Amino acid sequence: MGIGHLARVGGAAGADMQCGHGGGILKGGKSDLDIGHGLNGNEKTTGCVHMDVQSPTRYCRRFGYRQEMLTLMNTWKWSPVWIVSTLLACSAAALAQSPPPPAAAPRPRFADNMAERTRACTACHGDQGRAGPDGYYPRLAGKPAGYLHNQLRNFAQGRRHYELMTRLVDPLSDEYLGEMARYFSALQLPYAQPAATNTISAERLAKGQQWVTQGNPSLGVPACTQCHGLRLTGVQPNVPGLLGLPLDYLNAQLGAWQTGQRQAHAPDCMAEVVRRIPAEDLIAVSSWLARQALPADTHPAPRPPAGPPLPATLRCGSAPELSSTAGGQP
Amino acid sequence: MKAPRMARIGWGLAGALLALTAFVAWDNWGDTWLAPAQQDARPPALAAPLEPTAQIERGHYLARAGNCVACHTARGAAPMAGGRRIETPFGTVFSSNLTPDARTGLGAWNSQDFWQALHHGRSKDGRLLTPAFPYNHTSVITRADSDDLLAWLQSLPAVDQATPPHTLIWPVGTQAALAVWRSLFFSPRPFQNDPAQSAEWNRGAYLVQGLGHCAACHSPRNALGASGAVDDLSGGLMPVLNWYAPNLGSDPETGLASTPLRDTVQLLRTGQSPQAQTSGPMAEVVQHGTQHMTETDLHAMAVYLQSRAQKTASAAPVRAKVSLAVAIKGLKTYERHCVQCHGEQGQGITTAAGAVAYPALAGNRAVLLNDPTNLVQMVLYGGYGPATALHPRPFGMPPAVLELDDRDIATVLTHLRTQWGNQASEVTPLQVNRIRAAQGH
Repeated sequence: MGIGHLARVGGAAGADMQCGHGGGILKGGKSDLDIGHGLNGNEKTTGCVHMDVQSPTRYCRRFGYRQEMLTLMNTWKWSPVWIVSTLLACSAAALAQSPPPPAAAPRPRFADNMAERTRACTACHGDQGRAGPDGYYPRLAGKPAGYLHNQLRNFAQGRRHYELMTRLVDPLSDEYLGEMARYFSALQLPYAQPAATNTISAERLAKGQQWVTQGNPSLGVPACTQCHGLRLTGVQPNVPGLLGLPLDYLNAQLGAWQTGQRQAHAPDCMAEVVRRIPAEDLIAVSSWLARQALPADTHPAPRPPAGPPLPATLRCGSAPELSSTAGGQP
Repeated sequence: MKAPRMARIGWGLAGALLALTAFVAWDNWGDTWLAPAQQDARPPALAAPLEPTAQIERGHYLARAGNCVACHTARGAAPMAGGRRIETPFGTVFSSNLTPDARTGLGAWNSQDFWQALHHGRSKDGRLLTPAFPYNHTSVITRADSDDLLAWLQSLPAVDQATPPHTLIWPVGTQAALAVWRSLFFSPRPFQNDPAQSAEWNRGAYLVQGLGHCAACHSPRNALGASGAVDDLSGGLMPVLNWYAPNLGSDPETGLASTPLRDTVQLLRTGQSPQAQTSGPMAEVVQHGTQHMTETDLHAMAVYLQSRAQKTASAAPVRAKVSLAVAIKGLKTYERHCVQCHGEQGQGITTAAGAVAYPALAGNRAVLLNDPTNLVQMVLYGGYGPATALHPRPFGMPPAVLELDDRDIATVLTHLRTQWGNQASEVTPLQVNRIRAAQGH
């Protein structure tokens, strides 16, 4: 034991420091290892704890950790008496049986509610499902409940593939998944400003806008707005909005639909639509969508826009109300 | 002089091989050659049931007790239509279509054919089945239960779905290799009633050894993939899935000897009890299987399992000697990621209604298991316990696979294995790395 250990730990700073999970983790209670409290005090100087959920976690990991280790080394250097006594205390704590712990402080944080029950979701999808901090995990808050429920079913039934999601939903009942969907659907949170900055020409963006707002009748592709609402904020109860989503996520989903990796309940109208759009135009569509600010009213529309329903060749198993002929729900 | 001697040895070896082959063939198919003589020795097929609906319901119950659906239903596909990929150390097998489709399912099977599959591990056409189907356990099932199961299966909608061929490494999937394997590790064996024990104990033993096929996971598998005897509950690391199914006979591992029977019943029925939580493959067993069983049957299983558990503690646990660096890092990771739910003293959180929201880690047998595999799985993937009729809204744990590296996980696990009176060995980053790599992450 000695400085060598500390240096090795410092050099191996990996994914240790991480904000998210809502902060507020640090506490004032006593612990077996008092030196840990010294470290916690230093963490506050990094600003890590007070960052909001959108803060880049890498900042905390890299800088927070280094700062702590430096502080620890400084302590070692300047206060040998203190550190020796602390080390002895730590060794005793680490090597021997811990003394009986004092009673834990009351824990007002826990509440027996859905926010608590969905912590496994919000760890990645952001606090209250407002979207993850890494620019990929999509927002859940405010999406139509039917859409969210269908996506959970898609993961459970193998139509969407993401191992972490599958492992989470597998042990849960369809009723519980529905309750989670309704919970996130009812959350009203402001949207962030669009952040897409990929390089794309104005003509290509215009092409994207054309696909979104007009579709391509000669290829049998309806406008996105026909199903996703004139404001593109989705349509109750089953159609998601297309705004406020990260560009990477939009690209990944359109690509997955094109290759058949992402599916919906058969008949899969979205897969059919994406297959009819030329691959080079998909990025134009996603780039245009990811650049649009949300309208004043971000709620999903209560019903599809007026006009003819989808043609018989484009039936939606996951949103039968859109089709001229009934689709099939499982 | 040498040539004739070599020839004699050669002939001797050839003769021995022939005799061995004959024995293996007899061992696997002999009963079918003697079919007429053997017929009497077989349990008689039951007469047509008076109440077909009741029989179908009994069969449905038994299928749930056996969790047949877990293997015989592909994700999102029709129930019992098979086709589910099951990875083994020897390659991939695909479960069979058990729906009554005449071409691809059991439509042409009678109750004798089905009994032959369950009891002898042989298909209708005499083909030996791969032991991914745990027929050493289904061999225990009574003829009456076998008939009930088939009645339920025949009541399902027929699904025309051919089972893809297995892709096992040569020669594992060949009939010759299966025959040898079976001669080594399998012989059809009906349930042995123990008259010295109560009827309830025997019912529990029948369920655990037969339909429940508990030893398929809770016993060690040898190099040829064979699990222990049907009543071997000494624990084992499940291949491919990579979860450790604890030793049900060891009180330090599972506490079955000292757990009140009602808590064991509650665990199997709801997925959690004041003593334990189910996770991983056992959560699936509860979700699709045991939660649907009657209290009477669960109690019988608990009685049998308790009788098999030893109260004597194993060797005194050795508290890990942890370096200061590991101790600091473990504490810090715990405070970052764990303390909010599991508490500063590892005490967990209980709801106002008295249900466990987040389990205590102090004194938790799952935390103290010598093999840290399950702990690493829990930290990597988090997740929910099973949502059951009596525990429909479990709380969950966030996955940490994207947040924590091997060293973080090793130190935090070491932390919770050495705090609050817990005494278990240190978990090393190398251990974590191996388990993580086995999951493909």
